[in-house]
Amino acid sequence: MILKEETSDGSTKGEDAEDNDAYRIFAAIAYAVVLIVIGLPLWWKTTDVYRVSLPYSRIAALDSLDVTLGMNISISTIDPARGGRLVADLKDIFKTSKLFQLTFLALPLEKKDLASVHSPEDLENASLQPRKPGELLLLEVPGLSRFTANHVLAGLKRTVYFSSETTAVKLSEVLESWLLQEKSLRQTVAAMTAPTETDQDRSGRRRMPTAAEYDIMITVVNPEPEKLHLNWDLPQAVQDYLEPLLQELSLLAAYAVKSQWLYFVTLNVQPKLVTETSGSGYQHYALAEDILPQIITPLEKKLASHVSRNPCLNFIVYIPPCEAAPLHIYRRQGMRVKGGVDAFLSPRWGGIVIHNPSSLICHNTSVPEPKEYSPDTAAIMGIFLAQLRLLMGIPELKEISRVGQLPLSTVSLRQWEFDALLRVRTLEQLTSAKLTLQSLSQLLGEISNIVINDAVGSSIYRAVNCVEHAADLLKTGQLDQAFNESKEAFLSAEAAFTDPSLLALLYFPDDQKYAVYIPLFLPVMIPVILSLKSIHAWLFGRMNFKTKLKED
Amino acid sequence: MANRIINMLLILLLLLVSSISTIRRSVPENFARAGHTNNWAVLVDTSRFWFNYRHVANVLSIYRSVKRLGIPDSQIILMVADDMACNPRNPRPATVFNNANQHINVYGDDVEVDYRGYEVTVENFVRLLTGRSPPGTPRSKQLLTDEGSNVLVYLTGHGGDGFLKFQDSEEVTSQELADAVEQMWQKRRYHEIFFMIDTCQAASLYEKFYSPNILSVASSLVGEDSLSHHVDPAIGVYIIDRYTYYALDFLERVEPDSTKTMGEFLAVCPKRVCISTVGVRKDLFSRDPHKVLITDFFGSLRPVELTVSGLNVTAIPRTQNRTRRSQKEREVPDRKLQYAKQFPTFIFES
Repeated sequence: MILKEETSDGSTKGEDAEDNDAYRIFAAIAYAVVLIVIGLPLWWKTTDVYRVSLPYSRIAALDSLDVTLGMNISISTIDPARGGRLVADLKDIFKTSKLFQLTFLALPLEKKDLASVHSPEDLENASLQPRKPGELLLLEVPGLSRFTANHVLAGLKRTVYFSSETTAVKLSEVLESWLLQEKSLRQTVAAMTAPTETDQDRSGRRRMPTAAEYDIMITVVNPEPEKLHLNWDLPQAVQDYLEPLLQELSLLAAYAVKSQWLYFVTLNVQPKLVTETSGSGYQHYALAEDILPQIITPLEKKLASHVSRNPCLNFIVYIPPCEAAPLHIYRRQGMRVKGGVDAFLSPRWGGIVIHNPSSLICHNTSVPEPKEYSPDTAAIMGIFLAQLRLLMGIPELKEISRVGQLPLSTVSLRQWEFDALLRVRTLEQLTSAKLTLQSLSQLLGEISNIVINDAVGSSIYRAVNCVEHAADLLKTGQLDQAFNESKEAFLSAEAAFTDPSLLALLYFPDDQKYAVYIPLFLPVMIPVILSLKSIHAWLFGRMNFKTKLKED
Repeated sequence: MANRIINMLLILLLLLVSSISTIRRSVPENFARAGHTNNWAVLVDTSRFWFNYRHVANVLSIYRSVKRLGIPDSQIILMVADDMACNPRNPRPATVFNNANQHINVYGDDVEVDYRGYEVTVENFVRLLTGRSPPGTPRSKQLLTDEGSNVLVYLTGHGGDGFLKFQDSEEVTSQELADAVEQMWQKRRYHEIFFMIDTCQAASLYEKFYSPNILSVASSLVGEDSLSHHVDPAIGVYIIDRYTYYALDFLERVEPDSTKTMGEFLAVCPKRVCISTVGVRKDLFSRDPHKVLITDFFGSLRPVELTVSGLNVTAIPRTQNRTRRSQKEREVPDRKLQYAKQFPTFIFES
């Protein structure tokens, strides 16, 4: 209500009232401007979550990333025509390969290169061995029958020797199941991408999971140390036999080797006594294959590291006391393993060797207790090395008729085996990085207020770049660099996924956000919004008045 | 003609009988086909205060069974929210019993509790499951499973429709649990999970799971309460819950080489003794529970392959290595080592 009063200067109170109106409206406009124009954007900006922008489209495109392995295979024959025919046949056989892009080249071969060859080892030292990881050479050796009864012989480096009668089909069989192992690679990738549909194959189930570092723990179990004393320099044995192989595998991962001795620990199973009369010749104890898992279970309590988080390979030597020796393992069918090896391994865990003390020492009653015994280091380490090869991912090869391999003379891998291992690990790491990145991008995209800090963002970018780069390198056949890139991708993706800041509990559901802010803002905003109407009315009223004045 | 028909029927019967016997003989092959390589257990008790003694006894009893059947401590994560054994109100200090006749002390001498007291929080539980622990977390507090691990998850405490109460101050919802398990699946951190939940309205906690290979059992359905079993007048509180009591009754008769199946375990507490109805969720589990060994989840039997031959390594010549080793042995330390004094009086002697 505007009261009309007489004022001293004669102007009507109506004008004052208008001025008061104007001041009121200006005040209301000021409130509206401060709250809506300045306050709302300021509040939005200060309460938004710090998120580094991520390459969502590139990560989605990784799904259709074309991962093929390019490889150069050279074929050398005496007769260039035969070489050309072999190249054409093999190209035809392998053109349906989904994972490999094989390029076959025919190289000419001089007979004089093979003139001074007296044994397969001489061939190995010849200069025509391919040096680049991932390449292969198929070399025809006329007169291979002088050295071996097989038609095809896989060498120790990157060469396969074949005789003049070998067909392209035989060569393709050797390539497919020994050297390339495409089926195993495809099954590995499929088992990682769709685990409910495909399982890993036998060698994949046995292979240790991908990691940057592995622990190897060697344990010697002596249940009765007061009766049998073991004279064994274990650190020296490790250095002599294990270190060379680990040195070769150091490109794949780092290894930390530890050893321990356990005393007064028994097997916790009862082996059966087999007497001399039952046909095997001497009295011994028998362990059935079915109870072997129960040996591992109580031993595991004493083996785990309480500090290290790396996957651990456990190698155990069990030396039975003289009263319980010799102890042999019997298969389910009732026979012993040919060759006298009493050892078994558990996939992704390690292996156990039962090493019996020699009967001379045990039956020698003139020696006082504790009897001294030096275990056969070469035999035990040989079994550990065989188990280590299987556990690290070098599969046992299917038998093909008339195809053999050159035996290993030193503790090392065949170079083509190492290449195959590089291939499977590269594919594993690439697939794992891809799956991790896709899962992470889905999570971060869906929950719009998880904080993505700089470290996580840079890890994700690095992982995506490395995955794409590794796929390019694989296509051009540069296997070792592709492996390094894929390892970097795998480690970056893991670091991004397991970053503890992703659980910062800053993400409340939307209804909780409304519940906090509405009681703060609503009481302030209601008068402002309601007064907008009167502001609008006053402004238009003034403008109409002004235009009316103008028109007048 | 009738004779012929009778002959044919007899032959059919004979074939049927022989085929049934071959089927029975081939069941062990199915048992051997498990695809897991190791076993883990996550055992969580979420309630504190003396009157929730039974929840601690629950979780320690399952811990004891799982340890007895072979899972090593390095693969068990035990979360106990309050200390009952050393509680000032415990008339039998340093013990926790799960039975009024006090035959078994489930606390034992070798219990290893990984998360204790106030460390049992929703955040730590979710960090444990998803693997997002802060750097510096000790190994015993991490779930280092891989794609071949079968994980047993046991939760006990006070729960409600869709949530489980932690420490009387916060809660984890079934949706959060389902999302955490999905994150585990995305990283392939389990092969199969067996969820056991012993709380009120426990079935609501497994309703929201959407990842594959999960078998769940709950002590009560939505709308029902899980009840406790009996009071120990000497201790003065309820000692154990009904479902866990009968589950333990079953597990105590299982040995590490047992052939009992998960199907039998899922039927372990009928309504007449448990009063609440046991809920089971099998649709996410690909195998038939009646063909799954109980040691697949509660024990730890690793698969085994025989090694056929070792690598033929020739003995390495030891001449140069031997001198190096003996040189090391001849090194004598230049100062005498001795134990530090228990009470260093030399500080006060001036």
